Amino acid sequence: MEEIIKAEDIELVYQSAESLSIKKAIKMLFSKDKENILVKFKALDKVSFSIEKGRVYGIIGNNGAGKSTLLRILSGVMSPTAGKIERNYKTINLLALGVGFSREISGYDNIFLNGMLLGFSKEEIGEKLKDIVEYSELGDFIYKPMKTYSSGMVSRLGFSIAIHLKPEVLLIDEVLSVGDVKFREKSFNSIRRVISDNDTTVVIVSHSIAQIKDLCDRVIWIEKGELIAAGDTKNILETYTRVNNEAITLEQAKEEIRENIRIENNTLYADISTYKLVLNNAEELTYLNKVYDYTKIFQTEADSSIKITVRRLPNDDLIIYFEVNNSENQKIKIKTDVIKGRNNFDKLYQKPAYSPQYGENKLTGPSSFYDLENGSMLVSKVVHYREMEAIYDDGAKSVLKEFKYERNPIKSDHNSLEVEFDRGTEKATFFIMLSKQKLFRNFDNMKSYMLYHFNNVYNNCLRSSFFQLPDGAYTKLPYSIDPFTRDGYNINITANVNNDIFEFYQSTNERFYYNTIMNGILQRYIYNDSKGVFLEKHMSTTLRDTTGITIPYVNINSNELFLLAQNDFFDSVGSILNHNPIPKYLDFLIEVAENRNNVYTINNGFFFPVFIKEKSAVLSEALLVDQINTARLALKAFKRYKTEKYKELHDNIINMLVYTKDNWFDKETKKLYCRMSIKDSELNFYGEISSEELLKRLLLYKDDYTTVFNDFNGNVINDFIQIL
Amino acid sequence: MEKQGIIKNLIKNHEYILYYAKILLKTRVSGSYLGFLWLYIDPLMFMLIYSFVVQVVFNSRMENFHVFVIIGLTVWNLFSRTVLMGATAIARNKGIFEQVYFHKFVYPSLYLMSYIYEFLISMSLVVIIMLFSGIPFTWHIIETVPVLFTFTLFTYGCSLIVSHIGVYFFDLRNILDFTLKFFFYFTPIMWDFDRLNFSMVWVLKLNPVAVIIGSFRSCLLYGKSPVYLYLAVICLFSLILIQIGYKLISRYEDAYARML
Repeated sequence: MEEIIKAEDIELVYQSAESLSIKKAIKMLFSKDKENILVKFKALDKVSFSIEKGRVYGIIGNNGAGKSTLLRILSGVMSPTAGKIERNYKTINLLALGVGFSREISGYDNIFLNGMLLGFSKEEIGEKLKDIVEYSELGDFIYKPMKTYSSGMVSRLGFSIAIHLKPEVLLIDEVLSVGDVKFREKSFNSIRRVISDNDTTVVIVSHSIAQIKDLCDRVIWIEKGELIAAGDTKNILETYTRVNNEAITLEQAKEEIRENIRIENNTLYADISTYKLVLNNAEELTYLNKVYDYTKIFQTEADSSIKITVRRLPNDDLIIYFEVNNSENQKIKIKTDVIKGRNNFDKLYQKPAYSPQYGENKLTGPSSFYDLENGSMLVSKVVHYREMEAIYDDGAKSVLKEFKYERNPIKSDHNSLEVEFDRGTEKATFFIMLSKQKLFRNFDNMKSYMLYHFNNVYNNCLRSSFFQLPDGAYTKLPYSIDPFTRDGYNINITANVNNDIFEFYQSTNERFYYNTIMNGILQRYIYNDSKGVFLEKHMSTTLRDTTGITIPYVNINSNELFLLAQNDFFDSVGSILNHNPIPKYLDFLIEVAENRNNVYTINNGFFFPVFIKEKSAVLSEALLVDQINTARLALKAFKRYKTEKYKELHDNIINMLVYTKDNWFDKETKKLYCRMSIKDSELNFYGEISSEELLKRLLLYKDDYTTVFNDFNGNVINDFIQIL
Repeated sequence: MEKQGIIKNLIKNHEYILYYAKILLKTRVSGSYLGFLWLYIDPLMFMLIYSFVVQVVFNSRMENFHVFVIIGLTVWNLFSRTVLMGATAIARNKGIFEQVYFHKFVYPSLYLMSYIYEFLISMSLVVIIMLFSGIPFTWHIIETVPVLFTFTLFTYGCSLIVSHIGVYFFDLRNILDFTLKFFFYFTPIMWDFDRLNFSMVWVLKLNPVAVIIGSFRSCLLYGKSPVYLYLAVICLFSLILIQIGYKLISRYEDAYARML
């Protein structure tokens, strides 16, 4: 649809002339800031919209909202004081009540004057004259001065002129609500005729909701010079009516409308504040009812769908994930808050463009960071892919994503972000991550955050499809589990240790974490070969033969491989949990602890009953630290959910630490053991890590821990500190 | 809206200006029995009264003093009325330009146009009075055309500038009112330079309106050519005024609509 008028951030400031007396004029001559002496009034403030050819628009808003001002700007009578307006028409008529006619002269002369002002010649007006007079039903009054007319007659004449001298754009200001019932009906019908011919664009200002509902396909709602909403008539009018009935406040209405992410002209207009809203509302829900996702699917005019998933991460960050299906010239336009600074994400990685070992660097994922007013934003590249079905050797089926290409958002400036999905048969994904923290003020902040807090959530969630090569570059894994999909890869885990963990995650709905963890495993597993390529034995031959694409068929059945992957796994889960204790997870720990007759060790919450039972294992550094972390986690959970069993868990862990302290602390050397051996495996996984470092790490938490711990059990904490 | 030169813009809007000017005349006489006749009767009565006052009451010794005064008054009337109207020309038509966009210079232009209609009527009456007073006609009467042209330009320039200031400065009309009255007495309308016993008389002669009145008188009354050098200077000066006025209006016309 052709845009006939396009307004971008227009502003209009009225100046008061009446207040400009001689006194003020003299003041102005000598004053330096001449601007401030004139009384000013801002009628419009940063209003943006576009008007398409042939459509009927309604402008609504209470008195003094700036409706008439907006019409005047549209008509070209005034130009905005700031902002941009594009006008692509030749003739326009602004039809307003009672103004524009000279009251002293006759209606007949006014027809000519009005017509000439509209850009028609005397002859053209002469031709239409008879029709105009007839339509206006003025009769002999047409030769009388206009001051003798009633207001209804004036508007009838104005309306008649506008209808007969058809301009490209017709702007109507409150005219429809006057005149007698009969004429009102007549004018309504005429307007409908004008509307139906599809050449004339009509913009109507009216207080009558019924009229707007009846005539307009689109509505622009302004209030106090501010654009509240622009778009579909029905939705906006509903909210508008409720505001007028004082059922909701204007602020609430704004939020409500913002949540109405709309699709117009095959473009999705989404406001990020929508998701902030979702986040705030979902805060408690997330913990208590485990609502992690807010999903909405939008159908565009071209029968494509855009799915928006808002996911809250345990550390309260937010991922807004867009999936576009069967798009055809799709555009996603997202308006964000004012972004105050900008950092180049690529700088962080300092990735080599080409690595001799792995070829061209395919770093993708986050494309840029933005500092928002209340946090940070991370914008991904747009990943285009094709969906295909994979059939494995054992006959299992799975839907896979074949990566095609990726690109940057076409526009990402300080105010808005625009993404285009433009290939007909493709699917594409794109995400924005909003962090509540101001992370990226400077490079160091960003780095440290990523390293310590964000580490695994970030690595495994957002960059689940990326793998760090030995030379420091990141590369995209050809095949990986999308943490956002519900279907992961067909991964068989036949490891005979730690099945509990997988059972737990597989049994929960938290597919996101499961997929994330699996990615960690997958990455480590696949690249274990150190050649950077897949082992032939892990390929799905069926798929390769039918499609030419090789897909890893992961079958984890060795302790060794599992242990290698374990680190990633632990890190991921640990970092997720350290931010927020998930009750379900803690419940699981308790349940297992009870089943194992209180003989257990904890590694980041994972149980290795065998080790302690046989007293043959020395706790690793990781184990010690993670035990303490798990205790802290339980404490956190107790504080948040006020459930006694978490406190018990915490006490149990601390007791266990005291009980097994000989295993990891040498009193004579005052050093910590950090060794772990696995009995039935050939692998000896030694954590020969200096106890000094461990001590440091423990002491880092000491203050924090002590205070928290004292709330529970003074004896134990004293004992614990003494050991150190 | 793209900006155009004044000539182009005048051509573009000429239909409207002429039509509106005609309507303004029509409005003046609308509702009266005699209608358009008033456009003639009005100035005629005015001239007869002045002739009577000048000839009988003042009993001036100057020959044809009544015609002398009438010419001065007619010219001055056009000038002062146009300028006074100019001060409110744009502001009073706010209702119209709030509805349709067109160049605001049209307003001062159309008032000038309508006053020139009236001026021509008055001038034709002057000629009739001359006829009755037995003043001989010479071919110099044709030379009133360039004088009128110069006069129109000058008046136009003044009214354009005044109309711009008038939008922002409402007190302008009042100020102009007494300023024009003041200048009325410093312009040789009721008196002549020749009879002035004043050493600084050249200062008064710098007044363009005085030069134009003098030129009209020499063409009509004395059967002499006007001093074309003076007229040329005034023409040039007027063209500059018009250009300044037009530029001012073009630049600020958008702001007019935003004035409360």
